[in-house]
Amino acid sequence: MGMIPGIDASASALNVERTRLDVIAGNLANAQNTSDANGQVYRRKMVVFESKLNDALGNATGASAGSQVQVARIMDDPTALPKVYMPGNPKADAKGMVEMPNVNPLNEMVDMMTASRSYQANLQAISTGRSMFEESLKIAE
Amino acid sequence: MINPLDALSALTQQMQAPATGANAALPTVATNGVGAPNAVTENFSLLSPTATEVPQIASPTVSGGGVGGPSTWGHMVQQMVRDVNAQQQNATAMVTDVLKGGSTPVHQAMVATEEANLSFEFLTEVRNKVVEAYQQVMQMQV
Amino acid sequence: MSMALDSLFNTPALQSLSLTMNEAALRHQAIASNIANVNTPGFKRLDVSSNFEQAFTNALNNVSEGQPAGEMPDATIETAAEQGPARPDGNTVQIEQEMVNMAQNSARYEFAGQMLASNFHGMKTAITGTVS
Repeated sequence: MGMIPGIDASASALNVERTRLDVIAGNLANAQNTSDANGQVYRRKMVVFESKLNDALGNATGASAGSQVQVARIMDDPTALPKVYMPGNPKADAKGMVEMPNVNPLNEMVDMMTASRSYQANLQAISTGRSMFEESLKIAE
Repeated sequence: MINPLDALSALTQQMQAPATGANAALPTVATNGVGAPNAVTENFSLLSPTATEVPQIASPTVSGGGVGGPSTWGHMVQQMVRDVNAQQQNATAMVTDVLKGGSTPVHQAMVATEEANLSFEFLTEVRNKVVEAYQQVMQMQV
Repeated sequence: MSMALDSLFNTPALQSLSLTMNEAALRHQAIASNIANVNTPGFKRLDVSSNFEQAFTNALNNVSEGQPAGEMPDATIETAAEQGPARPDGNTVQIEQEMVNMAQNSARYEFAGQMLASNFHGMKTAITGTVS
């Protein structure tokens, strides 16, 4: 566990939220991108989290000492792509409809705020753990 | 005239009775001849080391009369020295475990360290008081 | 430990403070895990295992009555018995509740630490005879 209690869990969460913010930034940047690296319309990316149980250090029974979080996978959002009427676009089909990325900037902003708040909460957890540690140092003057 | 060695043996015998540690009864000099031939063999060596790695507070060994049971003053002090040493080693082991990232909580190591330090100071004070008492006895006008 | 050293350090105050610090440190780990997993689908909030919690309460009672504290089980964390309402993704962590718990728990830990420190300071003064 180390000297600061709970720091493994909080640090893993900081990594994970940072990854999510990166993915959200990528979504927002590509919100109008109809041709990505493969020539396909850009599909919104989502991050899926999963928890990972800690083992208490050196504990042979494998008792749980809390749980970290990690990114399970980054997957494409399977929801349908919206079609927009743009007859002049080189990717327009016979009816002049173009498939656009299924990125809704409002949803992305909400996700970004959630990720940011979680990041702050985890920073607060580390800070609290740190001050607990410093208090325990005062036992021996 | 009072034989100082007789006085010392009386002192240590008195210290055994309450068995409360440092500030036992003030030394009173008794003029009884407590096994005078035995008193000569006493070695009241406070400041010389008796064993190897333990912080050394040597104990007076009383060989007078029939008072050599397991609860003599010397045995008690020796036991305390061993206990203090064990505590110090335990505290050091805990601190090492914390440094290695083991499962010992930090505050437990801190508490153990502080207790070991306090025990050692306590033992030092015990020794100081005994030495003081001895010196008081030695300074008495005969 | 010899009789003298035993009675010095096994006072009810020192023992109960030390036990409290153990329990509070463990709980902080559980709370940190909950906060870390606030966005994990299907995650149920964790807390100190009821086994440990029960043993802790018993130990506090024993110590305050002057009896030995008894063996403490392994410090473990498990899924909490009380779960709040679950969000659509199955997550039951309420971030506000966890932050409040964290503040209260760390206050308890720091209080116990401060009490231990002043306890030892008092002992030191008594032993050496000088106020440091």
